[in-house]
Amino acid sequence: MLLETPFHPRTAPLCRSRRWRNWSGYASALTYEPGHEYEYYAVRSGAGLFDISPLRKYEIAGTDAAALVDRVVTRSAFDCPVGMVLYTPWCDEAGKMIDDGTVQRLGADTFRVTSADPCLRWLQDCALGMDAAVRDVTRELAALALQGPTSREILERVVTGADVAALPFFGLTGGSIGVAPVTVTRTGYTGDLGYEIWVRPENAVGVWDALAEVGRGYGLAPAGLDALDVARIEAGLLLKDVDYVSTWTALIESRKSSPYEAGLGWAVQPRPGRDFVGSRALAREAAAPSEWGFAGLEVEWPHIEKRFAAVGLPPLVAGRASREAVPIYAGGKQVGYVTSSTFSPILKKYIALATVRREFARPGHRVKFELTVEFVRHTVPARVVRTPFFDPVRKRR
Amino acid sequence: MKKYDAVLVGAGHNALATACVLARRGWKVLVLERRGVVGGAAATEEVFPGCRVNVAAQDAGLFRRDFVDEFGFGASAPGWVHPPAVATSLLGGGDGLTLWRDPAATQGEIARHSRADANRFPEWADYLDAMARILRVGLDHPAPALHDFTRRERLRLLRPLAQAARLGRRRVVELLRVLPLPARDLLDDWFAGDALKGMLATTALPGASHGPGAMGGAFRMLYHATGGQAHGFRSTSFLEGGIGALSEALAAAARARGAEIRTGTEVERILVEDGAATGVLLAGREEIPAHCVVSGADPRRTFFDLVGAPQLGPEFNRKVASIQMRGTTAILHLLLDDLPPLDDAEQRLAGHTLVAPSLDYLERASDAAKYGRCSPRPHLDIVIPTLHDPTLAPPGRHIASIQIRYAPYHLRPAPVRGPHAGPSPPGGDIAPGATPRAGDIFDEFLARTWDTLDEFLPGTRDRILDHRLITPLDLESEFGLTCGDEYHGQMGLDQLAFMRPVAGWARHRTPVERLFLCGAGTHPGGGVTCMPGRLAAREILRARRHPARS
Repeated sequence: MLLETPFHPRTAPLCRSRRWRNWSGYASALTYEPGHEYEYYAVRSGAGLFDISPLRKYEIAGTDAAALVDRVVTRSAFDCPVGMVLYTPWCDEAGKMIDDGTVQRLGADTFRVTSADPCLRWLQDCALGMDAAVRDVTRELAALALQGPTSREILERVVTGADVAALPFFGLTGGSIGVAPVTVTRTGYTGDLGYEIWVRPENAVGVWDALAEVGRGYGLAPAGLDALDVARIEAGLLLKDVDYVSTWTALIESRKSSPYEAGLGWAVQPRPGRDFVGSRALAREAAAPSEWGFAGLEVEWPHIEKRFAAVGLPPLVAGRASREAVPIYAGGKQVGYVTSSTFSPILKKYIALATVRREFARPGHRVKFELTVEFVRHTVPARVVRTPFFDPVRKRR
Repeated sequence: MKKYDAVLVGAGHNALATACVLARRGWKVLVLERRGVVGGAAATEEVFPGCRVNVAAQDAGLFRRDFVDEFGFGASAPGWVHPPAVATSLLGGGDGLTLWRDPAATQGEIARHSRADANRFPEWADYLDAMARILRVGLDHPAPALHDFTRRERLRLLRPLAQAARLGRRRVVELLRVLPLPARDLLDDWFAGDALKGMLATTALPGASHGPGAMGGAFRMLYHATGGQAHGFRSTSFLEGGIGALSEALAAAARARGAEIRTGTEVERILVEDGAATGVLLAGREEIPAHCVVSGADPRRTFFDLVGAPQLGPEFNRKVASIQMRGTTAILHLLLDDLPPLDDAEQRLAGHTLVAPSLDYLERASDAAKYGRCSPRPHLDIVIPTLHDPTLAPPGRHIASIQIRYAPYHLRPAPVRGPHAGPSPPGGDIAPGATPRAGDIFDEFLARTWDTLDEFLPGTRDRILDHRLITPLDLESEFGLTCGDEYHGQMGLDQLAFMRPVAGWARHRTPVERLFLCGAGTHPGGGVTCMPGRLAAREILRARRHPARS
């Protein structure tokens, strides 16, 4: 049976669609209303409230905590000041990605790492011989993501003991909501202005109620994973085991990805003398780049319409995000595959995240996207563009 | 500053062998030993006043004589002693069964117990030698790098395969059949007499924490016969001046070729820069740069204590942490004013004298070790080196060194360490005084050993002037043997050849460039063989010739 998150007493009655998904063993709402559009628009024009408690959370403490985090992740943890958060992938010794997540620096010698899947043994193996204790705090910490243009105003009214308005992008602060001590980070998975709130499970329901109460005047809606999936594709954010396959779950070698291949080359931060797991393999790859790269695609909508119109249909493209792998062609040959795609309601475009041969990964390249209309395969033109597709100024300001 | 081609960590016999071979190739070699004497566990030292004692290893039977030339012993070659008795099994009540170097004498002896066994014994002795000869081909050559089976690796396999095939294809197949067998099953196939089977099974015990019923016992029996001349038991020979004479000879040969050996010099760390070894740091903070570093210490000590786990990858570290290291042997040295009272003692006790009256006796002794306890009736393997070289002790005195099994390093419940540890830890759910002290456990173990000695070699205790017990805990603290494992890792089928020290890192190389391993933790394994050291030297030379082929 699926586990219930600490917010379940609130989310269960709200989930009128009764559509739940297994997220790391927890029941997680796909949508609350029958469709996800309202929740999606709440994220883009009001505020969406997501229960992200199933994330794996680890606390790392000890005099070598910074050294351990620096050893595990590809970004330089020593460069992360106290009160800031890093988004980073981490790799195996061959430089292939294991997982990606955020690293919160709570203190000089205290960190909190989030990951999509269990990682405790790996972190502990990396900690061998170091003064750094790794503890799984997944069940000791509930989490909410409050995402959208009004999220700052809501939090300003709810959080005491912290200046939320002054919190920078990827900043972290402690504070209280009611009687509950919380950690607030300005992070998220929607590419919008947004925050994540970390709270002990016994205080979870109280925090939810406080946000829901104040949020009523700010267009707040509980939002599920379907809305999140559309938003994260618009933001160009990767999903583990969809846009890349973890080295631990890949069945064949060629399905593994390095950060460079997954478009996260910017997050590989070597410096002289820095020896992180996979650093040598990644240095070799930086010198002799892989033949694969990451690309954002915009598929030409008029051509999609035309293909459907030819059989007398309106464009029947799923309103939800698709995780189906779709081939991409150039010059009659397959040059890659789309890993996630969606119709973007706010951009009014069909967009996709793709793995393509490196020579096609540069913005401006034209490729063909495979489109199946009533069991017949066609191709429609698409253009490689920069990600994020949607990048509002408010996200950082 | 003077820069060495190779710095060796530890002066065990394997490291000395590596030093010999490298120095003969003109390498500038420095060997650093923490203890005051060379040899590691193969050393002969003054334990009792005026007496030189083989502190841990006793038998030099696995050292191959053809290495004498390869290492360049010259005049420093030690004198070999082959006592007439290979082994004597004590059966209680003054009864015994002796295997002699003379096959006819052995047959006569066995016939007193079982005529059928006596008839089969010559065939068994031939079989053991033949199987060991084929196994030796595998030990003489580097382990196949199956994890990276390139064309070159496949070609390197041709020679040993051809050599093995020349020894008889059917025998090779037979070897593959018996290797995984428990000693018990192999011996049940051959013999009926319990006394004979118990005695022969003792050769399967060193290098494992298991009894004769465990898989892989037959491999260990054959391994201990690879020195040749097993006489149906194991390759056994002793040295004038004790086992330390071999280490001294190796050291002298290395020095003669220009190698420097510094004793009383502890290496604190192996220095690593950008993933490559650059030298060592001594306990006195002196840095010694070197082109390459070769560690004779066991793999876990090398990687975790000397290199440091954070310098290595987490996947590799997990493998190193998982190496089975399980010391289960204690050593008891006795100073005697006369030989134990036994007919023909001088003859019969000159080889290995065993308390192993049956397979079941050994199995029961090993049972205790499974549960972290010392054997209530232990198995004893007694060697009296003063019968090989009387000058080791003052006239009229004898020394008996006894390997006692089983005394596990990993005791349960975990005791307080040290013979005179402080009071039991306070609080918790442990009642005060309930946590045993290691010293008390081994005192009790020693008492059981005295009982065993009284039962099988009565009268010996009246002749003891002094004794000294070395537990697996002492082996760790005194000789740096992790978990007191004198084989640097169990000699199980899962820790052999390309899986020794860990899968993926055969060939004496390590994830740290220019850091090599040469100790018993590498292929082919433990015992006073010098084989890992010799193969390591070849790999190191090869790595220098072809730096790109690492």
